[in-house]
Amino acid sequence: MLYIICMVAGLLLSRALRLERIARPIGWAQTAVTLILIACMGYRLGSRPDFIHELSSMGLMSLLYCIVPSVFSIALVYVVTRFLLKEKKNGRNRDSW
Amino acid sequence: MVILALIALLIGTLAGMLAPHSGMLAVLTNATDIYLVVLMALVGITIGFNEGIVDKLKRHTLHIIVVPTCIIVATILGGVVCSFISGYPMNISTAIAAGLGWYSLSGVTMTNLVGAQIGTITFMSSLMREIFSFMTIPFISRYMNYSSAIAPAAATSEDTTLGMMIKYTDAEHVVVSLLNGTIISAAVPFLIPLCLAVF
Repeated sequence: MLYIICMVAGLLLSRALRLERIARPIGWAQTAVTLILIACMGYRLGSRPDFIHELSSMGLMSLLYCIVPSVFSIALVYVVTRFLLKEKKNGRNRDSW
Repeated sequence: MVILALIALLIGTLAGMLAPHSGMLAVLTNATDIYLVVLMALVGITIGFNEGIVDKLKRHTLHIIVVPTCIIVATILGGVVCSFISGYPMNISTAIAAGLGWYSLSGVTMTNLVGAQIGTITFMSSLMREIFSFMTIPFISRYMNYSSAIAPAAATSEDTTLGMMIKYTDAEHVVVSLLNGTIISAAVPFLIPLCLAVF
């Protein structure tokens, strides 16, 4: 809940103070914080005593959790937009938009 | 960004392996809640940059509702299927899938909520989803339709994969892609705890 409040506060602040003037530094800050968070996650992971043994199984699991949800997403969006919204190849037939 | 993220992960992992009991590093890495609060505020500020977002929403209402809804529903369904293959409990499996390509936030959130191993799987699967999007968008846009090309990108369709959407679809779908990414990015912080609680 705290994270959502922070996101909404950021959105309101952005609108109120017209922060798009400093969009680039905001982007840099976002990248920096993201990288710090990823490094922290890596540290916690690397600290695990049996990390090396877990790595191979984690790679396969990650691939599974990448492929299956992605393929399901593509299939469902295709079926719904093709047959319900009548969107054809290459975005043609956009009368239905 | 993908390369920077991998370098950061590598540096952190090496530090963890070489100095697992370093007091200073432990203090720094235990402050992830603070970093996440800052990140969420910055994400909110970035979403606020989208001028005229309401007008854009009105023009493509149906697609803007249908595409992210289908992506979220299908991804969660994919998480359910993965649960049977991986043997993970349904709530953890769906929460991993609910990262929806937003590797930084989802990975760290899952590390905080479940643990480092699941957090890393969430991170890596989301990162792979972004790479998978880069590789598949050209083919999906050519052989299926433009809206389907937004599907693998999920949360990244508003930033990192937007360039691919600009290159391989048209202006209207770029708007849908941008708004799809905004909606999914806003949904991820709700979806992960929701999946952990509900399934």
